[in-house]
Amino acid sequence: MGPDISRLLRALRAPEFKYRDLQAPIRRSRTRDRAPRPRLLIVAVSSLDRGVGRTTLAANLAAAAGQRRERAAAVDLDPRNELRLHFRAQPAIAPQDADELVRWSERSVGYVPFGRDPAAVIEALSDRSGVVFLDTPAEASPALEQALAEADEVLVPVRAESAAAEKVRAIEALLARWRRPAWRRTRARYVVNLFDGRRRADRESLAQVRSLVGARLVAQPVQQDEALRVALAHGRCVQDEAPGSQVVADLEKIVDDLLPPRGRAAKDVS
Amino acid sequence: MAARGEELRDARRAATVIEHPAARRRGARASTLGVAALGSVALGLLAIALFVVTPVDLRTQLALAAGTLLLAAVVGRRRGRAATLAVVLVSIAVTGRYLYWRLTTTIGGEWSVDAVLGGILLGAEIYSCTMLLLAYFQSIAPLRRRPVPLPADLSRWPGVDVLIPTYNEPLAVVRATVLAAVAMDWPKDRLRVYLLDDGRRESFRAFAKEAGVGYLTRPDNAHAKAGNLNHALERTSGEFVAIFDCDHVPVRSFLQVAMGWLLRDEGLALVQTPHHFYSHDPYSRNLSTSPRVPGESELFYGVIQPGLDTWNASFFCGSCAVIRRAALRDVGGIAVETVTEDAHTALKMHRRGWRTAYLRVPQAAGLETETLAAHVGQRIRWARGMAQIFRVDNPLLGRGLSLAQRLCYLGAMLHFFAGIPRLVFLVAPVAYLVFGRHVFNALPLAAIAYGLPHLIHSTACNARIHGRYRHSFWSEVYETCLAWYVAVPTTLALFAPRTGRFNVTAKGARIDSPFFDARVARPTLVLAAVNLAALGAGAWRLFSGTGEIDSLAINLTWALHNLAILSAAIAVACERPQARESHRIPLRLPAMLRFADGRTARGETIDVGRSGAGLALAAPVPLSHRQRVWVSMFSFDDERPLPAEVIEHDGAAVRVQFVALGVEEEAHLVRVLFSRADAWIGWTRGHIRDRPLATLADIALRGAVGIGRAIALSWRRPRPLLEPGLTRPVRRAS
Repeated sequence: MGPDISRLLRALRAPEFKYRDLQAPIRRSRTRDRAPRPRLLIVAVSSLDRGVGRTTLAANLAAAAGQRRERAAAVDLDPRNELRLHFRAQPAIAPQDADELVRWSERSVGYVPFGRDPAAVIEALSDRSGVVFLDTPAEASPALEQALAEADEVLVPVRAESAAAEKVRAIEALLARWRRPAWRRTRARYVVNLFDGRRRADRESLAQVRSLVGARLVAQPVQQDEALRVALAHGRCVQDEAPGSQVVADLEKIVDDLLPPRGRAAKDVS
Repeated sequence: MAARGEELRDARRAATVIEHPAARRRGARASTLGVAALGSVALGLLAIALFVVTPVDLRTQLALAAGTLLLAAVVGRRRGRAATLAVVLVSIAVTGRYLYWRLTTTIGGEWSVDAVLGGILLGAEIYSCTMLLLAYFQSIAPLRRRPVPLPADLSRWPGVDVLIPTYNEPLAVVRATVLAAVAMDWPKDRLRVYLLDDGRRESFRAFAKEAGVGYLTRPDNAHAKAGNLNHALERTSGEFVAIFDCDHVPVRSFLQVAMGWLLRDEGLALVQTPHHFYSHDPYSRNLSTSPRVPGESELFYGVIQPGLDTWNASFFCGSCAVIRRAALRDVGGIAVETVTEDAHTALKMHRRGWRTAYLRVPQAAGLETETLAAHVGQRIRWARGMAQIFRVDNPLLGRGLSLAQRLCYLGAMLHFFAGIPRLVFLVAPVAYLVFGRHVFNALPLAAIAYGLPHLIHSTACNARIHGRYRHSFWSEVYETCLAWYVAVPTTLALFAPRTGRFNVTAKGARIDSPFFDARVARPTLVLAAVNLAALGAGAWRLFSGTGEIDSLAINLTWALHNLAILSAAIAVACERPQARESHRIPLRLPAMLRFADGRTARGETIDVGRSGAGLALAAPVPLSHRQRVWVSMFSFDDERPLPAEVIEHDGAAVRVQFVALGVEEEAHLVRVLFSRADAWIGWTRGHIRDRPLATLADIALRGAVGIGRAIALSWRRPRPLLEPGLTRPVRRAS
């Protein structure tokens, strides 16, 4: 039901009256019952594609979560080790200890470059609440399998392109094989990334993905935004680079979706 | 054919009538309490009649007047319908007593100039008292009808033809209506939109094709809009017909809100919804009263139509309505005999036993007339049309109507005869102040004792019943602006009802610079001069001692009141410029700007119009004039960036103008702007409470300021927009 319809119905004060919103493309599912939010939420940002913005999303989502006063860390599981590039300019609060697993900034946003043992990282973080974004490799590999198995949530970025629907089907099949049965209930969420509404192909693929995964598509796509590239070039997150850009709002929306305020975590966000 | 008509009527009578829940409750109660109610009504009427005719001396009458005022003041403090009914009954009794006294004691026996002048004034007073009683009757218990749901099974929703007649309006105005009509929430296979172009314009045909709607035209323009609609009715077949004037843009929920009653009640011919206007009417705009004072049309759509609905007499207003095709067929299509085809069609349906409904949910919005001159032209047509119906199909005569319906229609039609009585009231003080004529054959103190309570009660009652939708004394301003113009055509139409012409109301025009339209204000200017002269003469009489002091006081007050109203009426003719050709609607939506270099900026819209938008960005962005941007507004789930240029920027505040929108982009913009189901539900927001005396002072003040403006503007060369005046495009009904 669109928000305009809800407001109309409130104004009508006609309890008997029912409305059929024929234009609401998303029926936010009432069936999706999420497990209560764990103390440390582990989100795997996974895709079988390169260039869909996994690393960028993982880094900037951690930054966005950090702005919400959550302790947030991004962990690089991809041998290309590109995550660190997003954090080059991040001032560390303490002299870096070579053995320290997570490199924290003053905003309690941290990152773990490739090569650390993910299990040990999670172990180290689980003493306090927060959220971890796993930047997984694109190839089907033991590391990916392990990440998908461990994660509480899987966030799949999809590029808005004509093959988007195919890509979604492929990863759905993979997840069905690899995810632990106990966690099947929390199925992957999708986000259309690098979206530019001016392109017809982008709009059409967004509609396709939406019809395919329904409510599991996060509310709005993440815009293709030059600010993300500039931020990477400067080695910092986009919130610092261009706080007024749309992509900051898009990322916040995803964080809202993943991290509902504690206390009503089990409730659906519809 | 006649047999078929009879059959239809029988079927309608046999059909189970599912009334409004409130009506059903009333029905149940009536069966048990019927006798008691009837008895108390009879007793009440008897009491009022006794009160009206009992003669008393002046002192007792003064005490009586004070008593009724006290009673009304005490009862009037309570809310609710019972208290309203009580104060209305008191008002009726007081008015009746005044009129009775007026008829029995103030009329001179023999013929004289005084008696003739007095008779004219008495006639005007009888008219206004009749209108007062009819208005009380109409709006004593407005029906708060609520929409009812449609069948859960989508396949049972009927087919609807949306007809959008146009004649000479610019395509830009029509486009929004068509695109929004297509976007209504109704199964696509059962929603057919038709553009009915009486102008036979190739650009309209091309647009209809592009927008995927039907295009209908005809070789002649016989019977204007009514003929256009009837022509389309022959070529379409949907079970229901929704009609929109080409500038009334529906929201997406229009059909679902309106259709429920039509499906529930087989005998219901039409459902009318309010005409809401997103631009200001000439009064609000030129006197700068919006949103504190309700707009001119709000009284009718806020109280009168719901009031008529109570008596099953709400009528079709030409647009924003859904009509059952069977009912239209039953009355031979849209009525073509008069120039107000809408009300006449409804009247014919009522005569045939069909019911009508009114839903006070604004589900479409249009443009008000842009100038006072255009407004006057529109009202001349309405007045002429109503007078025509009064002549050719008088609601008091003929078969098929209930008494209540006859009274309701009578009120609706007599309303347009207000011109001559208003003129009489506006010049009446002259008779005594200038010529020393006594048009009111009574002691001044007696006139006060009988007349003043009548005025106070009726003003207070009107404020109570109508105050939310029309402030006190504003009706006088409206009537004064129109009085001269409607007086002639209504009188003419009474004697020669077939001479009507249909003049199309011009909308979407633009005023470039402020000017004083002395042409349209001429009657009010003359009346103001007359009242000023009367005031001067009165002052002279006062100081030279050639008049009775109490008569002078009454007439001077009267002239001053007239001048206050007249000055406001003159001020309305000071046309203010309209800054933008297409109106910007205040609208807060999350929005995004995308720049050519791939960066974006997020923010919020402040106002949006067909041609551009104002935005507040989350953070300042360096911009240059005429920079190319794309604007996305997140209203519905799909995003559609609209190409635009920056035309103003100041830090985080940006104003953009759309450039070269394709038809899909335009459709998206129209949906964002006009299709939101809740777009107009706050239509009465911002009105202040009506306090009659404060309102009168406010009118006088605005009038004084307006006179100053009029003088200042006349000093420069006036620039009349509508040359040569009132009825710009005219076409003949053949």
